[in-house]
Amino acid sequence: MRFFCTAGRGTEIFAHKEISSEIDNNPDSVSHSDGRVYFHSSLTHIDQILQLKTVERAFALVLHKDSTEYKDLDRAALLQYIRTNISSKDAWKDGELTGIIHYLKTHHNKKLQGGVTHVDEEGPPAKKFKPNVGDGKISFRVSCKCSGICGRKVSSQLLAKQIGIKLSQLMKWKVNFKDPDIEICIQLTDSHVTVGIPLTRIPLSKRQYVKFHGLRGPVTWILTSLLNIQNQSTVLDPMCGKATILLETAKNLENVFCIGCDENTDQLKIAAENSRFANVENKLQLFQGDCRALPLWNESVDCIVCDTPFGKKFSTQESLTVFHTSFLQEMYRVLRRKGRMVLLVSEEIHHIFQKSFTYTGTNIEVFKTKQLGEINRVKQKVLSDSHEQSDQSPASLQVESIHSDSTDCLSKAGNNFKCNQVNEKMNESRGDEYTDKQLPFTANTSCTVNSSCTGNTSCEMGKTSEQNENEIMNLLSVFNQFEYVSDHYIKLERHFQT
Amino acid sequence: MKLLTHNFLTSNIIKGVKNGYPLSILPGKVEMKEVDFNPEFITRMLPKIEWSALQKAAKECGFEEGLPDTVGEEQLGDTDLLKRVHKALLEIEVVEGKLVCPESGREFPINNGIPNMLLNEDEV
Repeated sequence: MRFFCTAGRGTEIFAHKEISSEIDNNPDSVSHSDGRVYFHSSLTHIDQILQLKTVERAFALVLHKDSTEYKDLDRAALLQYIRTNISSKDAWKDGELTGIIHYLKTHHNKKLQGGVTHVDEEGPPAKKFKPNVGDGKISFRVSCKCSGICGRKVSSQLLAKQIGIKLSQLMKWKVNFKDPDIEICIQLTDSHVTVGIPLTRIPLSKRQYVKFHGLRGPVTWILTSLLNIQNQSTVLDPMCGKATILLETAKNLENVFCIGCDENTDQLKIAAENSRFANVENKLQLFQGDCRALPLWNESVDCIVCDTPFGKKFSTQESLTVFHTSFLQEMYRVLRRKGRMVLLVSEEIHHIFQKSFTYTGTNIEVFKTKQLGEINRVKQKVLSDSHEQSDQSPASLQVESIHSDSTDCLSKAGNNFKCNQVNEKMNESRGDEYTDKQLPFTANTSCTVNSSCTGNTSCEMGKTSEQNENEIMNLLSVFNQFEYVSDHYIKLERHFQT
Repeated sequence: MKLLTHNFLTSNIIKGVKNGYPLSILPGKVEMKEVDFNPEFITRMLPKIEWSALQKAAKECGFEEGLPDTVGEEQLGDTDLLKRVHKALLEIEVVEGKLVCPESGREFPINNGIPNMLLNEDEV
């Protein structure tokens, strides 16, 4: 049967790749679009699905309809269309789906949270569950999420209510808002309507071995996997913060020794706590130091991975350009020849890096605006170009940069879009796990919206454009010491701080 | 702090210090932590390690089993030796103590296994 996983914007290609290699080897049945990857699998492979690293959440797909069938319908007809389709018997009485629902119910009864071994969430007192377990009926709730022009025609709450009534009649299920066996997630957008059942209550992206979350799990995994670690390697994160990237590296790779460095004592305390909690203390060493003057030998580490400051949540004293110049210079010094570095950089810094590609004749503009398919193509182009380059410079190092912007889609679409989305979120407040998945609207990110609207490489206060130009040239000259490997654009969302 | 980390550390970031290597260890509290023995890891790591610095550091931490003066290619098959190297590199944990710059005498504190290598502005 069909399944789908949600993935952060820009990370779909990684999720697609992972699913293709781990679960569904048929290239025709795996597809991705708009933050989702669809694939074919079965209940017997559910453990593999739950082990996926690059996805946010995994769902069993009940229904998927393309918008061509409904986009011109008016309000009443649209509601009718969705209702009829979702409450069709065929979709729900499917044998495999029944199997999965049974699986979810059994696991829920066992109170196994997250499908793996997570049991710490006790939930409400057991008294409330007893009748639920006793009568053998499946309990459910419906969460709707409507967006876009089509979404505005329908009220999420009304739709959820109507579908809920229909399903309880059709399937003899009973409604339970607080702690249902299964959740029915309906998403209506301008491109599709999908109905899915999440396979876990806690998103797969929320790693159970991380106590204090920083960067989202899938992003840390992607950064780690881009390091392409084959042999025994030392991995350095010069600004490790809570060390979430290194936790992912140490937890999932056998042959690594990780070194995390940070200036901040408090962050290091959290990192140490994280390391203990994840039980990777033997593979992860922390020290306090300045990433622009690392107390490490020249060419002493094999890999560098880092989420560099964006100047938003984490800022630097001098400008980002000046900071990155001295930072990169130091990385160049400590990284081994043929070592590999993967950086997560802000749009501002990435924009500067792009300037250095111009000599390759690649039209870099497509990185910014076009669809992922094109990014892929250009990525290969950059790859091949940089290989030619490497022939001329034998002492080259490799760099991968991941470009990311936490507020990209918001800043482009403007404020109306944002308000609209926030309203939807309020409608959604019942589906609390849903909000956990999509969280661009925490106080943290929404306040950065404004700052990102000011554009790229903006002049700093009190500095002439000539000074800025010089700073950029300096950064570029340092950057050009590295061999550029590839480029990915991802939209960054941070975990909820609860 | 593990001695593997110590092997990478230098104090040459201090103004006027040329090599700053190896840093001396003044151990306060040293623990032995059991770590799974991975001979391949040790074999691959050996060429990247500054042997004399490890030898000295192990001695300073009171590691009595001793390490030979040199390790050649032919000794890589010696499991007993690899185990000792493994112990020295990964199992010795300096929880509290100090690192001392061999040239300037500047001390870097180690608290909870985390060395603090931050410098004051006038030292850079």
